Amino acid sequence: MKQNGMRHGRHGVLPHKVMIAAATGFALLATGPALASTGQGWQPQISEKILVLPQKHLERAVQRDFAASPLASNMLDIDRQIASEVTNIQSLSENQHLYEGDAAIEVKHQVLAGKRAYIGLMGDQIALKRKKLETQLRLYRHLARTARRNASNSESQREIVAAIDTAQQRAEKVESALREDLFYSTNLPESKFGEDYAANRQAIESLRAAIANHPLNRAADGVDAPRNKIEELQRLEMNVEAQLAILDMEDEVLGHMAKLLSLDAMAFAEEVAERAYLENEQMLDAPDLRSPAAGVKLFVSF
Amino acid sequence: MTRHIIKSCLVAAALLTSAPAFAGSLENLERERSIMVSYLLDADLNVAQREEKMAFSKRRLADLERIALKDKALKESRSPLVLKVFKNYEMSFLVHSATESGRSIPTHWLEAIGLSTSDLMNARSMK
Repeated sequence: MKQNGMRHGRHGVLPHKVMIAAATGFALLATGPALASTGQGWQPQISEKILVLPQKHLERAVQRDFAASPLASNMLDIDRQIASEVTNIQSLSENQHLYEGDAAIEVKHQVLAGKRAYIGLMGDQIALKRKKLETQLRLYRHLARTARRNASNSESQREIVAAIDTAQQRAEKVESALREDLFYSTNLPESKFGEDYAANRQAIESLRAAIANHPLNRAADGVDAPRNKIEELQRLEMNVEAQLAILDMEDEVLGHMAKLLSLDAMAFAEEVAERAYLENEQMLDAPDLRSPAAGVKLFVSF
Repeated sequence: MTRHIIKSCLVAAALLTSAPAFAGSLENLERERSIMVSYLLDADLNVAQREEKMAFSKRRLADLERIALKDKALKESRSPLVLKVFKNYEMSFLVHSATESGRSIPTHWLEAIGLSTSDLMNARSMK
């Protein structure tokens, strides 16, 4: 009993690693990709006024709103941690062949631990991505509902707006001619309102031209471009749903990674156990100097 | 009973005060337009007086038409009257539509109501 105790004491590092490796494997099997329970979410601060923005600016505004949220900073933080883990795993894997014996086992263990941390972080990241996409989807649905409500104004009001627009366009076309006509036909100085109106109209025209020529305001190209705000929001919803579907697949990939890692961990545990067993065997094969009979040779010199 | 009557009066008053109040821009336009038409039809004015009065009125009417055309409140309206005003552009916006058609306001207005120059030339006074 004492001998066994001493042996265990001497080679205690190996069983300890076996236990860690086994625990790693079980932990991975038991939990799978862990969901992030920490971190704050994303409460969109965008008002419904965003609907008056040109179509393609909507998505940018949503992205900007998200970027300012605690959820975005959490995701960035996890991204950095993942990058660090990947670098660590790659560096250890590349240099693994340089080590022997206990050091090699330690490196292997570190690689497994790194992979486990990577899977955990990746699971967290996927959970945060899902949170972001679900919030985004809710926001787009809310905006689409608002856009539909705005669009469902009564027929008469739409008719009025159309009639006013037509009248405005017709009036715009003759504005310069009218100004000249008033100047020559009435022989009266222009009214204060007329002067201000002309100055403001010129300013509005030049600003409109600048808006139309602005690179960020170019109309969406192609026949497939969304025709109105509701259609654009529906497309954005579809994109988010597609990204959620991709996340489901990423979850599955992560699950397979976790299974593979647990198998690696179990194989490592067996390797460490075998090594420990072989070392014990060598110890048993060695001559037992503790018994008096084994020491007889020390006394019998002929 | 008295309470019911008071309630009914209050409801009626609320309904009356919240009746579609389209902006004064159309009212002002209509007032000036009627003044312009009255100058057109006023038989007591000679040519010079009519021209002078119409010149002032034209300038004011042009400004009022611009105001009505730019009045954003009208787009929120659901009044059939507003729709009628804008649908009937030729008659509602006399100065702009006369400039568009390249005719004087009297000619434009008379033609808009169905009286052409030839009709007027062919007309005979009936006794």
